[in-house]
Amino acid sequence: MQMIIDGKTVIAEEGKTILEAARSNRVFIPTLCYLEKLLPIGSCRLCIVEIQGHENPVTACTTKAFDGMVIETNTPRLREMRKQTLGFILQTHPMDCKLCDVAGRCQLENLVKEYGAEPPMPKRAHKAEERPYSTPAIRYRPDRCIACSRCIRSCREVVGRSVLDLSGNGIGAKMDIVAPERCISCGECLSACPVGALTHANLPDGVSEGAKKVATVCAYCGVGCSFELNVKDNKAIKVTTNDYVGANKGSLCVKGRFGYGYVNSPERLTVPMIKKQGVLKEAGWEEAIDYVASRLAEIKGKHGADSIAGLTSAKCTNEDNYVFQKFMRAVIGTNNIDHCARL
Amino acid sequence: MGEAVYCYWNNKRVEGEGQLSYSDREVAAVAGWGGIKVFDPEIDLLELCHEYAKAIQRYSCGQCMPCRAGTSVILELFDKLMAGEGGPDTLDTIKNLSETISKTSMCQIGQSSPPVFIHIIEHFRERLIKSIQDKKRKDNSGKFSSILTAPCMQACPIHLNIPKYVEEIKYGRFEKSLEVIRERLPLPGVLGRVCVRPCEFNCRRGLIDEPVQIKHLKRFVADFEVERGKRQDTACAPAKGIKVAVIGAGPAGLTCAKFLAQAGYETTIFEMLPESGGMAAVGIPDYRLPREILRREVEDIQRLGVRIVYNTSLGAHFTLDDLEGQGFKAVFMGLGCHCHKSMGIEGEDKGYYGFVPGVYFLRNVNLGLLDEIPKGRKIAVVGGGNVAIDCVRTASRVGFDEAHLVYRRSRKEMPADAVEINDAEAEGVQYHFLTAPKRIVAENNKVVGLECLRMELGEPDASGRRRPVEVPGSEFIIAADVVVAAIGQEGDSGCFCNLPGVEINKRGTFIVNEHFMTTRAGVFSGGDCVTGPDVLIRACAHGRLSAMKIDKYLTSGKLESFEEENIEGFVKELNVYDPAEDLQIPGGVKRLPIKHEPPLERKKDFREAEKGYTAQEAISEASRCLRCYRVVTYAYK
Ligand SMILES: Cc1cc2nc3c(=O)[nH]c(=O)nc-3n(C[C@H](O)[C@H](O)[C@H](O)COP(=O)(O)OP(=O)(O)OC[C@H]3O[C@@H](n4cnc5c(N)ncnc54)[C@H](O)[C@@H]3O)c2cc1C
Ligand code: SF4
Ligand code: SF4
Ligand code: SF4
Repeated sequence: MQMIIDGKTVIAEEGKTILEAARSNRVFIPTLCYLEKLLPIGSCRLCIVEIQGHENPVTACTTKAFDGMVIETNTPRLREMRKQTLGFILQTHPMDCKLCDVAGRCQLENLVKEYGAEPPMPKRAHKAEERPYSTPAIRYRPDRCIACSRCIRSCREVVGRSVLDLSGNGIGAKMDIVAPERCISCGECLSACPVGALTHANLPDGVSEGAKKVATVCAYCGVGCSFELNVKDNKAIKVTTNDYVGANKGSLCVKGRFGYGYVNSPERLTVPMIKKQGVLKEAGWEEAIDYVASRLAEIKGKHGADSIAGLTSAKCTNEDNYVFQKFMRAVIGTNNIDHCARL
Repeated sequence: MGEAVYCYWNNKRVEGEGQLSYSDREVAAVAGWGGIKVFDPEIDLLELCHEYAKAIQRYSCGQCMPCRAGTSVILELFDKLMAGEGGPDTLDTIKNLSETISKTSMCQIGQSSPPVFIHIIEHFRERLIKSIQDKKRKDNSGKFSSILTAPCMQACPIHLNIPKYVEEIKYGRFEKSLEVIRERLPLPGVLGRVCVRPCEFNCRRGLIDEPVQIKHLKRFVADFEVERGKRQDTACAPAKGIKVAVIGAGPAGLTCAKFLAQAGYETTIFEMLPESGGMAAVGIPDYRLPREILRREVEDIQRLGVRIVYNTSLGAHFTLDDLEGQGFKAVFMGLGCHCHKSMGIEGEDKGYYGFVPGVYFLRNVNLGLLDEIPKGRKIAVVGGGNVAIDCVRTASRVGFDEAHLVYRRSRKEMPADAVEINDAEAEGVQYHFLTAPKRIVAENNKVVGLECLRMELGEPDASGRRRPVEVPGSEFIIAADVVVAAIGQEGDSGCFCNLPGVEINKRGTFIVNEHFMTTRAGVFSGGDCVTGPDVLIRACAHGRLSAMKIDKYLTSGKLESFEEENIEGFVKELNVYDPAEDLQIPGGVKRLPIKHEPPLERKKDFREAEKGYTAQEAISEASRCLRCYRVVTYAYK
């Protein structure tokens, strides 16, 4: 399928939307409410384009591309419209970017800068607001919400929980927590928010600035979700995801998204410990291994091999796990071996 | 009648003429998508704008940025002007904002409403400026009201909130969608299958490609509930302890009973037949509307506390006076229109074995009384409406091998639904267009054929359709063991005339006033027995309104037009659907076709011929809706 975008002839796949066709041809059209994994709704009105032969602009994300279409994505008229639309958002959005955790990677902030948008009327004094959310892991600041409904749709379409919805009308329309009891704290909404309305609850504002993102694999279960550990001062401060990486495509469960605290926990075991008279005491490796070997031999002798079970962990390597089951079967002589990822 | 003072509608400016007045209310001013119409010099234009801006904000769903925030900025600017702040340049700002908002908003609320301000500021600027400078403004805001409509909503006789229920489907909230439908209509699964869908013929999406499949979407949400084995609970008002009787469990009676029960009345339906649904049960065949769908929706109505007494007929088993004696404070009659029209041809009144009127043929099949229908191999059905098609398609399902349909005009003029005409053809029905019946041919008192005449189309008649005229000498015979006359029904005046105090007209239908009350106080009526043969959705609409009227009558002793009825008149005049509108956006996404059972297999039994959408399909079809909501603000004199 051939069409002309901004004067260039491009090829696109049949059945694609204008936005998909443009992006696959490296034409950038701004969006705020669009997320590839969600059904497009065209509510932010920033991806408007002009189609030859039609006076009214249409949203690229919801309009099918057709063979022979002649599309303009960046005319002065469209830029002016986008600028005004962004201005409407600014009428209520605080732009307290200095205080905001997502400053720098905020999609709104970037577009406002690019288009030089300004609110159409003088703004009223702004009052920062925080509301309880459906999970304590997320901080919700309604004053920053631009009602793009990405969180709502992520929760509904990706997670299938429908915790959130839009309520109210006109300027009073707000993202609302309608069924908090259904929330599973997966943070899909958090990762969908293009601005700083939903942030990590345990992070004070501004902390993630300058953090290094380290791509890694979740250590909890056998699915092996990919994510980025955000590291600052050699500490893991939060987990973010990339929709285009890994089998999980940016989705995580509560443990993967928020359960990274163990990494820097002072309570992690760093040396072997043996319980003596009811109290755990540090021991040397030799001593510990000898102790375990003698006790296992004793128990096996007295009660048989099947009285022993081995439980291993997803936080060990594959090789460790392999050797461990070998040890249980060949050395101890039992099939009682299991793994936390099977839960 | 008011005289128009000034008016700007659809790019036309008119001064000093025209009028708009409905029921007993005279309209003083209207503002809506096309502009404004002002009939009362007292109306302050600035106030009208202010009220309209408030209405937009109230109806704005808040999903898209320009309408949500943009129209709130406009409202703030009008607030200021009303307070005497700001001047002509504020008007320019409003006009500018309106232009952007109307070009960038997602739906017609944001697209079609702000242009009203553009028109007013362009054409009536002086008046506005004078009004801004008027320091002694009186507050008339209480005079104004606003409503939301849409082309499809307006065309729907019961005014379902179509854009809303379609949008709920788009967002996967199927139960919500069903709730929206049930606010007005208790039979979504029935209408979702057999409605004649006036909405779709007024769907704005049709102007760029094809109308939204509104009917099938309704069916989808109804079926979704059935599949899940769920039921929705409707809250009823506290019991009033007042008894109301409904006669006839057809669509009109069922709908009326639902709304009566919901309003707290102790409601009893008396039905002549052993089955509820009226023509939906004994007219429409099961392959179009499976009986369990209808029965389930009747159960929902019974769950509200409605009692149904079967095999009990007004006239044969009880009279209106009996009901009064039993303490029923009001009665609704939804008796339908069950008598067939005669064709007026030779042999019709001879009592031949093998000749049946269509409604009786279908009723016997639908009640499972197959022994009552004449047997044979070949059948000829006369008529071009839905009843005729139902008969001819039913024929193969009860064992006829050859089915013929005889119609006076051409295919194009057939009043039956085009979809049905095609479906019947796929099942092997043989059409004889431009053919009129002349005589029923019989041997030994048994039908053996139908003598017909060829016709050709002459001059257009009163209905605009070209009148068929006979071709002399063109007689021929269609061999048939059974002949079915399905050219229409008429009122059952034989039964109706035994109702003391209730007058009927020449057409054999009840005379009712504009509040659905017959000439006997406290006895109301609606549906086919008032309109003559009509359609389900109109019968339901009558049932709903009648229930509201009965409630009003019993609580206040008065009958008066509801606001929704007053509005109905003048909104209709504004032409919410404009077939000439050029949307200036690309289309090209056709409606999602529905799937059918294979014609040659389905014609052997009564399995449902059409299949429903899957959830995915429904969501994608629902996404085609353009949400053509329009805001109307008006005031009466
Ligand atoms: C074959 C056929 C196919 C049709 N197809 C469609 C279609 O696809 N779409 C559509 O929209 N419309 C269709 N219609 C029209 C539609 O069915 C009617 O307009 C609608 O049913 C009218 O509803 P109603 O409640 O006024 O009357 P009815 O449906 O006729 O119901 C009247 C009820 O009152 C009962 N009754 C009558 N007299 C008495 C009495 N004396 N005492 C007690 N009870 C009594 C009857 O038994 C019946 O149950 C069709 C009609 C027919 C005949
Ligand atoms: S919280 Fe964020 S994602 Fe949700 S609607 Fe508001 S801005 Fe959009
Ligand atoms: S009503 Fe329509 S135009 Fe207004 S916010 Fe909603 S989608 Fe946008
Ligand atoms: S596109 Fe949607 S809102 Fe518009 S007329 Fe059709 S069904 Fe109604």
